[in-house]
Amino acid sequence: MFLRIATKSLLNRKGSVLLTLLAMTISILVMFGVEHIRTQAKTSFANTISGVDLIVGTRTGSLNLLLYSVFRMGSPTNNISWEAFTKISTDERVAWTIPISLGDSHKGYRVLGTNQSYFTHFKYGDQQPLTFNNGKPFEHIFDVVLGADIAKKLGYKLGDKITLAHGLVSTSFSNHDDTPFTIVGILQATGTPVDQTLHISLKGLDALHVNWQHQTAPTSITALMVGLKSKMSTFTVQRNINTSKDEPLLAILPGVAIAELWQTMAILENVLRLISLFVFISAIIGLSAMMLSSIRERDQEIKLLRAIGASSFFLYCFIKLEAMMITLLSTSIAVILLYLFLLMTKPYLVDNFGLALSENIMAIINIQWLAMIFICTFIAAIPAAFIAFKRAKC
Amino acid sequence: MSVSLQNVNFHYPDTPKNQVLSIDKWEVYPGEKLFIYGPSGCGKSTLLNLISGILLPSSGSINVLGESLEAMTDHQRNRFRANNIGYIFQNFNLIPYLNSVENIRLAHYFSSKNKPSNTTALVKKIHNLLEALNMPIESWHKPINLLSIGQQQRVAIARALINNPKLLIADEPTSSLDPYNKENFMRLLIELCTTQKITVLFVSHDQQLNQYFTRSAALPSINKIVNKQ
Repeated sequence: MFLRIATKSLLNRKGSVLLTLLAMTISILVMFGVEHIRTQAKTSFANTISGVDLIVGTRTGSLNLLLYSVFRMGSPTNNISWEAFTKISTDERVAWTIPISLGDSHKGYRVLGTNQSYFTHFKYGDQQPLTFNNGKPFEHIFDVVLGADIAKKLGYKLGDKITLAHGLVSTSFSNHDDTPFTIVGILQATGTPVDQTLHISLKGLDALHVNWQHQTAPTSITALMVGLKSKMSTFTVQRNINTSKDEPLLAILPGVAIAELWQTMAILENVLRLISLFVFISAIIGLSAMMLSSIRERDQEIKLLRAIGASSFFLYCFIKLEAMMITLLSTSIAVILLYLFLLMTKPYLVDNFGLALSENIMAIINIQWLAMIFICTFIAAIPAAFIAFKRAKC
Repeated sequence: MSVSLQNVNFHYPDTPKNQVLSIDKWEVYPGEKLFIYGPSGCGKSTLLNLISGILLPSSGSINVLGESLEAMTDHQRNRFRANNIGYIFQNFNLIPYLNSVENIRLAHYFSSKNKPSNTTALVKKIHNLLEALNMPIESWHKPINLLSIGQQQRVAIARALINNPKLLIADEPTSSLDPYNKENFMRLLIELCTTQKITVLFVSHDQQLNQYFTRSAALPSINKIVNKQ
């Protein structure tokens, strides 16, 4: 009965209730949306690399090393010698290593020189290995394997021949026209910087720089990724590398460095949350104002309810219930809308931004959030409910 | 006694100097149909609010159906009112967004006595009342604002009588009705109250209505405050 008259009472004031409902829905949608994208961005950030225990480069800042080795951003300050790479690779505690050499580009995309172990040991996300959409890993010196984005954007397919340029700009004067590469493989989309990378062998990369007819072993690489036999030895190996007397080296734990990088974005994160909080507060104030003005129109209704035996407390709860019902409905609509929105934009976001947002929003809608929303509603309904209570008293 | 007032004084809490009501002794007998008339502003509504326990006297004691209102808690007074007193206003007797049947059920919802064992029994009781009040069946589930004023006031009688009250308080219920509907309303009200042996306390400025009642009283002759003015 209680619920029924509250529903009918709200339906009776369709206009103002609908507008309040709309404002509340939008604000909750924004709040949940921001929170969802924030957590998803954080996860996808942390998912860029997994299963790699250490990244080793020349001595520089740990963020710098992370940026150029994992995110292909910026330039390495120096290379490390092939001897250092061999020494670490042959360490008995080391299970595998992936050499990485950066430096060249193709139409603005980074070219990465590496070896076969990149395709067997590199993992992203939840320990997912790289898989091929088409083709296979490179075998010959002029084979190239493309990330998913490059193949899509530039319209390349298996067997196409491309030339690689020295440096980063897409129109370089020194195109290595005499060294055409053949596309032998195209990777599946990963939502990580791998999608924007061209992978060639270390020898292939060297061939771009020296006259390729004089084939030699590579003399240096940019960085290497290390997988250990036992996680227990991570810190010892890291310390051994960092204190190496032969050559200035730096070993970092990718997870720690990524967390540090995310910290630098904390301000942006907090600003976003603050904005969505303000949007919500303004909607709640709107709700409060709507309830308050409705009370002024309902003097006679209160008088009548009192005469037929309603207590002041009943009237207080009645007004509170109306506010709660608006919030409950807004929250439900907002959740459904957000879900549909994510579902519809998912293909578009992955195709165009490599942003893989999960439509599983239930992860962020936890008890704390709902409690906050309903406590705010409860507070917002106090003025109106209190007036109803007081009117009922005399 | 159905109602008995002893040395009752009343002023609103925030205006202690402005005495509204002062009654030494006043009684209503069981089963009587009492007509109280008086010009507006002589404390009619205040007296009715005191008797129904919505307001409490500043001093003195009010006894309704053998029970002292001051001795009750707020909650007990609300329950007592819902159970024992039917109330009909001049207008706005029904919640506008509920239909007739729902309005009557709401009044029943607040009372604790005469709870029929199931909803069907309650609905049957409501239907009987509406039939006795000559309400056309197609109007029972119509929104209140689609009913005529005469129909609305008749539904108000049903709403006031659903809990089998012992006392019915009516505050100018006919003043917005045309002569035909007024006659109709009064006849039905008196008829139902007589068969159900309900004490009636009817307030109006319209002295023509006197004919329907067993006794009449002028409020200015009861309330000392008005006498002084």
